[in-house]
Amino acid sequence: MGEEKSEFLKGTLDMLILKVVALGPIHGYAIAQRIQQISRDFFQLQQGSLYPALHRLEDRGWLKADWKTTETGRDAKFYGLTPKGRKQLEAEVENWGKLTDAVALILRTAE
Amino acid sequence: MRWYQRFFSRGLTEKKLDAELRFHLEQQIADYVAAGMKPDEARRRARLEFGGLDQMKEECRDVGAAHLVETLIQDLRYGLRQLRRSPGFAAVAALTLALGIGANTAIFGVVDAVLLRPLPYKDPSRLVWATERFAFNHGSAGVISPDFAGWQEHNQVFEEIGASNGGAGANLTGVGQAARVSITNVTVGFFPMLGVRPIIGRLFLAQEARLGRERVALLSETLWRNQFGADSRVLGRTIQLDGTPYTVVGVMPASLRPTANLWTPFAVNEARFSPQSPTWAILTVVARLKAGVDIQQAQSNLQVITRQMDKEYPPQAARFRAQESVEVLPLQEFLVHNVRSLLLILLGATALVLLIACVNVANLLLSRGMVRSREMAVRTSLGAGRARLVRQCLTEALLLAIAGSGLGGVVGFWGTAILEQLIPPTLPADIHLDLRILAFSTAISLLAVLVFGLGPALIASRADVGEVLKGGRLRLRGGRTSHRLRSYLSTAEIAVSLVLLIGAGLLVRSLLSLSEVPLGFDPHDLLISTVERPLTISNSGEYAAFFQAALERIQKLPGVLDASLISQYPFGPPHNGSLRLNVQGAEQVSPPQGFRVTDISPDYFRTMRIRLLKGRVFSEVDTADSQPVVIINDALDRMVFNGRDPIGQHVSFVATPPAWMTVVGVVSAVRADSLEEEPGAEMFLPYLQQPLSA
Repeated sequence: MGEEKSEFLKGTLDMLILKVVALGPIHGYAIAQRIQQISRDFFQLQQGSLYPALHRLEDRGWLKADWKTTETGRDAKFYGLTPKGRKQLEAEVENWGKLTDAVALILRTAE
Repeated sequence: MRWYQRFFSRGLTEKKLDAELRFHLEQQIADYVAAGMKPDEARRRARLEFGGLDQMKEECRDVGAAHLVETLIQDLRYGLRQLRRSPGFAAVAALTLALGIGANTAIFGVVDAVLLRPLPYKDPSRLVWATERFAFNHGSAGVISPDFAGWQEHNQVFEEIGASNGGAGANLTGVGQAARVSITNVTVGFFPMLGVRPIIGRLFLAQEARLGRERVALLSETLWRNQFGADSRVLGRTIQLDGTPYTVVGVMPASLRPTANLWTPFAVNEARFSPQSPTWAILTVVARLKAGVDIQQAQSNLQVITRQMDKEYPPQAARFRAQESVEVLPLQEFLVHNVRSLLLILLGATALVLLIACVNVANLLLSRGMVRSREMAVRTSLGAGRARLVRQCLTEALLLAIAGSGLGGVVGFWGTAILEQLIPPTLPADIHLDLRILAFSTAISLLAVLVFGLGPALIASRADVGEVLKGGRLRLRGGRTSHRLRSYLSTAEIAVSLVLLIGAGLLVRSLLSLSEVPLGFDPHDLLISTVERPLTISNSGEYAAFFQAALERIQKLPGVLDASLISQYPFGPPHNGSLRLNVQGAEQVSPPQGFRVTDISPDYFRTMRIRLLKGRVFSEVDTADSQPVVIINDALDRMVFNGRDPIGQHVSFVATPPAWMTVVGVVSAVRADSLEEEPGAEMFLPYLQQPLSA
């Protein structure tokens, strides 16, 4: 990948969101910040894909949402992981592991 | 939140979505300001990064079923408003579709009842129709009774075999008003074989096949309702059929096909089932194949039996049995064989009509799409995706289709009622608009939506936003595509219409040329009235007096030019005929084909404007006491006398002892059976010289 900042691989955005939300209830803005920080600014998260993804995950029952007050005293929508979402995250992480292992294997062997 | 909860609180949902996104934006601005940016600069940057707010909202809304229902209702409401705004367009489109869908529903209803649905009998797939065909009667179908007896006794292929002999009429008396009824004779095993049950009472018993025990009758449900007031006490009552007492034993359901008013049992061991008998019945034979036996095996088995039967007939029958053949068909195929292709052609034609209707509506939608390109462009710029626009257009098409199929249902209902009248009573024609037919017309409506809605929707949704909004002109990026599509559609429409027009034209032409076929008589201002002989008449004198009186009174009616009596009129019900004729001084003559034998009163030829070619017509002097006379037509003359002068020749139906009749006249032949066939041979007898039983 030649560019510094990259779009998400298709399908990985959902997994990353679930992973971040798994750490504790969190609002959309913070999710974007967190993903950018943890990946050391490698991923540039577009709001245009973040919010539709959040609503999609909520609709599937993997996330649940609550309105809470932030430390600054404002109302924000906090997302949390449901048991169903946790299972989904586990499954996706496992799949991801398999996928990267397989890709790595091919890259090594093909050398 | 469940989708339906969200659906009912969509105002709230909308507010919350706003709040969530605003929170994000403000948080971002706050962060930028904290990092040292000026508030204005921070706001601008955050806005830019955030991107199209409406588009994002639309995408968030696009999630889940609530959204689907919600936008559907929105689209429907909007579509309705659009259609209301152009009622002319809506009416034309809906009516066009209604005609197409209605015609298809009606025809499919008939096709379904006649061709698709299995016969309403027990295990109908193994039921077959069997017949023999003889060269002497043009190979028309029918089994002569002695052969049926042979088949019944010797076949190895049928589990059950039954026969019926329909079409006889009789006077029903003894209950309420006298009525003319049609009677079908059936063998006692016929109904059990079909698996039809009476709605009340019982079927025929085995012993009722014996001569002397067969005076029992099954009523049809229709006759039972009309004549007997649906009274169940009818069972066991005695009715008179042509003066003979019969006991009612049961009532058959109205759905039974082929239908009749009454059924009476066939006594199979009657004399006419013997090859030596002078008269035979012509039967319709239905049988149930044994498991594992196919049509071919059945056919060859019956063929062998028929060949063996040949030897049992008297020598003079050999001629008629020449070139006999046997045919076995699945019962359903037999019942529908002459209407199948007709129905399928009809279905094809109506499908084309629907296609034309769809193309027409597609064209209408396309031109409307051009007009609405501005609206589409505005919607695109407000964040509507292409899929969304296509969906909106399809929803409008769907509305048209719903209106069309609603009206189409009405058209179909009428059409079915009309078609039902046209179906002959021999066919299984129990049409009801059931789920299958509803499913069919729903399917064609939906197909219609796709066919006529999708193209225009795709094109309309391709509007070039900048171009349209900037220029304010009604233009589409797909303008040329749209134009091309419209000319394709028009071309297709004209082509299909031409096919239909040519088909209709050919039909009308055939009809016209049929109507120009010379009949041999003058049908103008000709009326037919059927007069039944009163049952109180018991001898020939009273018979003659009754009809003479009737005829005189009819002739005196104002407006009546001529009146005459005839025992069987042209194009009437199945007729009497003869197969042999003996000529005095010559060997027995067997005309290669049978000929009609008709009793008439003297004025018949004048009434019908039939030309006398030779000799004289009947007159008042030809009575029961005078020398028996006959008139033949020129077709019979050619067949029998072959150039010799027929006038004064003596002919007889039976050879021993002969009952000679003198030929006194020759008339020109008329078409009496079918417009397509050449006029057939015919012999006329004075009705006064005929015995009462004839």
